[in-house]
Order: sequence, then structure tokens, then C-alpha cells
Amino acid sequence: MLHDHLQIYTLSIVFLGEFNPVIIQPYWLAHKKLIREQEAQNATVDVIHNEIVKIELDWAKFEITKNRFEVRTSQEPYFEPLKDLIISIFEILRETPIISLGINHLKYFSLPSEESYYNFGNKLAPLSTWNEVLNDPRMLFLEILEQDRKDKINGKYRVRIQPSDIKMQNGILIQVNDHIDLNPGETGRNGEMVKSLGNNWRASMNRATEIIETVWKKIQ
Amino acid sequence: MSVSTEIMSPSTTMEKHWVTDYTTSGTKKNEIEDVLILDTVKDEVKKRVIKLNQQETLFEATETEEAENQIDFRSIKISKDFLVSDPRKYFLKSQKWIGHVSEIKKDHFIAELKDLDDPTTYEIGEVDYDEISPEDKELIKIGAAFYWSLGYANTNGQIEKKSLIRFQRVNFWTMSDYNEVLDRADELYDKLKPED
Repeated sequence: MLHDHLQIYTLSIVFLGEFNPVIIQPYWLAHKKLIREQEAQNATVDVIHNEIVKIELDWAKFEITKNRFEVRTSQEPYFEPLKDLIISIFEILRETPIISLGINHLKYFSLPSEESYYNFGNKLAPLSTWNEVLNDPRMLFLEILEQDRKDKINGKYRVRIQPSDIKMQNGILIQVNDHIDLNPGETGRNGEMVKSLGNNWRASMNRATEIIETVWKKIQ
Repeated sequence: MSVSTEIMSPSTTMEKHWVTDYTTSGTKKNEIEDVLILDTVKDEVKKRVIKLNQQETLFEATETEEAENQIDFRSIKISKDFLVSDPRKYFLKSQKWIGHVSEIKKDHFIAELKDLDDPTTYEIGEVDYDEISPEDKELIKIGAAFYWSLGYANTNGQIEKKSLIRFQRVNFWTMSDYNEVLDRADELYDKLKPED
């Protein structure tokens, strides 16, 4: 299984909507009992500005602008708490209009050999097509889009494959963007996207794994 | 596959600098410096906001060469480290359970544990209070939920096997929470109903 070679798994949850960035600060989160007080005290604040807020807890990083809210972690034990935290924030700020949700799965794999690294790209995008016109062609970036989702959820599904941007032996990055939009008639002001995060969470995790393993199996 | 080494031209825009553009007499110097620092912060903020708005819900894992070539004015710039996965600190290959407190004892509690990757069965476990973070202890009550993970943490290159317990801090129920409760209620009902 490709997941036997998984090195780092980063989860990033993104909402698009209308936000007031300066509300989300470590002490606000602690005051609302959404994180521990110690975590708020140890938080790093990069920027608090009315256009953008960037804060870092020990296990999560926030980057919030007026139109985009993102939280991410590379620590698997905190994937569920991350989801809980985001849902809880927007249960408190329930008037916040949110129009889209993106659950991003970034998986870094270290392939066992240079040969398997080359073959991975070669099988996904056959390089024999390019051999006549380019010298030693290599696949650099591949993106596949599902515009009409198989699961009939309103949104898109996108898979990107590229070399790892983190130093790693024969490293590849497979990035899955599970993008969900409002359904026709929804306004985003009734917590639709927050509910969507809770209801689609487990399916999103499973689908990302399934797609990666299916593709890996097909190219062996 | 290979990584691009394409180099983009550095910007030729002159950044404002308080030494060359302004006189430095008295207390006015600090005010002018503060204004310039704020102006630079505003510029950085605007650039970052524009870039994020272009991404929609995509997570942009790769830093661009353009950002690397930005002039560093008095070290006030948005941390680049934020833009990529953190290779210095991650936790992987973990087994994960969600537990619900079922009995509270003097020095431990008993909980039902469900494997998050295979929630079809559950186990019963005992958890010592010593394993619970001080601030989570106030959350221990019958029915309270917690996450338990066993795995390998990499912190700045040091690998450690870790056990991590964190109590759930939520003010909501999801559809899967309701379904779980209903399933559990059905199980208990099956155990309690008299045999025909």
C-alpha cells in the first residue's frame, strides 16, 4: 500500500465567507473553553490585523482574512479536535456567512527507490509521448478535477500530484482538495457549511485514502 | 519527476528606508520609523490577502520563488514557514480511539473506546487520572468524550512514541454523533428486552 510510505499528513480546513479576523485570538478561544488556557498562553501570534490574523497553537495554525478562514495541523491525533474546534467556533459565531468548505488532505510519501519515484510519474503521465520532442522528460505536476462529484455533493474534487516540497528521499506530495459549495437556495447564513463539515468529515478522510490507494494499485 | 529550478527576476522596486529618506532628529525619528514599519506591514498584509483570495479553498502547499525574493525590511514579513507543512513537528502512524467515560473511580475512570478507523466494535479501558492533562480533568464526567492516540511524534527530528489523551471541547452534535447514540441505544435495548 502506498500509505506504508506515508511520512507526513497535513490536514487543512478552509471556509470561504465573510469573517472578522480579529475575533479569533488565543484568549478568545480559551475564554470560550474551546482550547486550554495553557495553550492560549503558549500561542504564537504572528499578526493580528483587521485584514488578517495569523496565530499558532502548539497543534494548529490559523490564517484568517475577511474572506477566508483556514486552520491546519500536521499532527494526526489533533485531526478530530481540529474539526471540533472549527465547528464550535462557528456554533458561537453562528451569524457568520460561509459559502464554501474545503477539506484539504496533504500526504507526503517517501517512495522506496529512485526507480519507483520515476515510474510513479511515468505511469501517471506516460513520458514516452514526450521522448521524441524533449530530452529526458519528467512529470512535474499533475492535477485531476472531478467537476460533477461522484457522491452527488455540490462541489468539486481535485487531486494534485507533484514532487514533495519538503526535503525527503524520493518524496511526492499528493494533495486532495474536497471542495463543497452551498446547495441551490441556501444562503450560507444558517450554518450549512458547518453542518457539512461535521457530516462529511469521515467520508472525506476515507475517500482521500481510497483514491490514493486505488491509483497506486492501478499503476503497479 | 524533477523539481523546477526556474529563477524569476528579483523586483527592482526601491523599498522606503528611514535612513535614506528622512531626517533623524529627536523623537520624530521613532514616529517616522513606526509609520514606515506599519506601511510595510500593510503592504505585506495586502499581498498575502490577495494571494489567499486567489486560492479559494485550495491549500497552496508550495511557496513561490517570488515570495523568496521579497526585500526583507527590518525582518517584518509574514512567516514563510506557515505556508508549508511543518516538517519539524508532525505526528503520524497513530492509532486513534474515541472514548466515552462510563464510570468514575477514585484514581481512574473507565471508558468505552471505539477505534476511529473501525468503529464497528468497542473495547473497555481504564485510564489513570495521571494520564490526563490538568486542564482536562474538569471535563471528566459520565458520558464525556475524549480522543486517545498512540503513535510516533517527530519533533525537530526526534522520534518519540507517544500516547495522547485530549477531552472533547464541543458545543454541538453532528449527525454521526446522533447516529452513534441511536446505535448504542439500540444495542442496550437489545440487551435489556426480555427474551421471547
